[in-house]
Amino acid sequence: MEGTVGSKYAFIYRRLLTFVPTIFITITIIFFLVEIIPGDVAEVLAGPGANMLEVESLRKMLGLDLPAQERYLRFLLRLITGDLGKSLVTPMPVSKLILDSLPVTLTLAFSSMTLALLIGLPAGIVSALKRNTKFDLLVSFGALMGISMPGFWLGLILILVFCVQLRLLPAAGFVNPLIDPVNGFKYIILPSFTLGLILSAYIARITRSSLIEVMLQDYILTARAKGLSERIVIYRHALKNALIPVVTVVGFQFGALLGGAIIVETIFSVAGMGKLLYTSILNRDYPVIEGVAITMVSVYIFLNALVDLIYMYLDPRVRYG
Amino acid sequence: MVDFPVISAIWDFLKRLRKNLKGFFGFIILIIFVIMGLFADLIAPYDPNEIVAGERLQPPSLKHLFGTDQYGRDIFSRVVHGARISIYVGLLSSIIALALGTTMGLLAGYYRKYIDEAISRVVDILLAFPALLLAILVVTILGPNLFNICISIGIVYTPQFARIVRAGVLSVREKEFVHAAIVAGDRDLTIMFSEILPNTFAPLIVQTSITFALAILTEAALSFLGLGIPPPTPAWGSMLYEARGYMEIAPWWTIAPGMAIFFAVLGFNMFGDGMRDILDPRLRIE
Repeated sequence: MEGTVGSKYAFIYRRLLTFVPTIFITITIIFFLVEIIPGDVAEVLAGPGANMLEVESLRKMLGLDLPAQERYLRFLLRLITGDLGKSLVTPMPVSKLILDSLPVTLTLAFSSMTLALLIGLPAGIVSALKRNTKFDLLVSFGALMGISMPGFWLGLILILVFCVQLRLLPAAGFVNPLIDPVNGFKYIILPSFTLGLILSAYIARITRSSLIEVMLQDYILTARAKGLSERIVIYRHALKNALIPVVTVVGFQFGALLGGAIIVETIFSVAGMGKLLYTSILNRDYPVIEGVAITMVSVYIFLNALVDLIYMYLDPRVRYG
Repeated sequence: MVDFPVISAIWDFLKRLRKNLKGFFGFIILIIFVIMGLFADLIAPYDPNEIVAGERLQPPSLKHLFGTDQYGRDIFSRVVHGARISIYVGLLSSIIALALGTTMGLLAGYYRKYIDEAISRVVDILLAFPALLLAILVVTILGPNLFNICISIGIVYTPQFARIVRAGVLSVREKEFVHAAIVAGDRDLTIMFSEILPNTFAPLIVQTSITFALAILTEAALSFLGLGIPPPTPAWGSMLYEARGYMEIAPWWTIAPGMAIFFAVLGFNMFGDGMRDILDPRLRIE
């Protein structure tokens, strides 16, 4: 495995392999975390008027009378076949619920991230290049406000302004923008803006400081001394290195997006995974909580591994490490 | 003259802080919130939980600066008392995260090998959870009360501290002064706390300030979802949770608690930025 190409693939392979134990351990943790959540779903389902016998038979029917370790093994076996069990509240398989809601959340995450990059990257780059100007100050202060903004409050204010006062946009619901672009856009703009605006603040901050740091390095001086135009120095030499930390932040912020989806989907009544998780926690619907948590964590771990690979592409120094 | 190195260090710090506009204003905002929290009973004109049937959903006026809610409670008084809860949550959560994370980072960086492997794996796994998801799961298990919320938020923000301390330890672990202490026969604990840990103070202080802000935000988010501090406790997030149903007829109810969260978090972030500039010249970009 001495060849460059071989070790490159070996690195990707190794990186993907470290996934498996991490995901396995997190799945185990999630199962037992959900297991110890207090509150008996059988009692909730049976209703307030039910007697002990009814509750007991319901427990048996749901398989809740088995010991935890046995349920864990059954859970793992089912998981391998892609079976996440059935929701305790609606008679739907958990995998169906997740497959229905995951695309919604991913669409929301993707549009928020796009918005965040469209605002954050140029703002960060220009403010780094025009350091200590009014524009830089404006961006820095705006970004500081952005990272301090509680997402749920921003969402409420947007609803207050655009839905309650101006009556321009719908306050609740979701239409797939790929199927119905016009209506889809109307529904997705406020939730994306809520998540994306805050994210753009993080991206602008890290882009600015990273680019400033890179611009002070010797090789930029060399590039300038060679007589390269400022445009080439910035675009070909500085930006590529400056974007490395930005990529890391973007990867990390996907976690914030998935967490933020719980809040934003609840506020805007978007039928995504965040809302699914929220309702299932309120209902103590264990299989759904497990399924959603596992999906969210897996998506997050996968995206971060992807970020590592992009990292490798951007920064030759960490290659094949 | 007796020398007070701590006091002179603080004085020196304050002098430098005054020159750093961001840090200075952040500090001022923090002071305001601390005063609000400490003297809430004196500042608030009404009892935050007093229900007045005849004063339901009053818009802001001189009598009720931020208006009243659906029970006729004075929103201004509730926001002032909310500062106390947010400061408590920020403080306790940061202390938990700081204590857990520092211990983990010290052990991992100092002993390395298996201990480092094990701790780093735990850190990786904690980081594999989106923060809010983990906080929700833990708080659902422990049950929603003030103390449990702090524990869950503390756990969520532990990995960042562990990483910072571990990196700091690794960077000085092989320095001569550490070896000298080992040769001199100092106990491991002594070496860790008096030789190694001080080298990580600067990033730790900055991280604590950021964590304070994140803790306030996370608690507010949990409470907003109805999974955090239960009503009628005047937590800012819980107030927004209640206000949500009244946005059409009482928009003012949504404004004030959100502003409070925003400014408190802004204060800590500004303070954190300022401290980073002052304490860590390497990170300073002027």
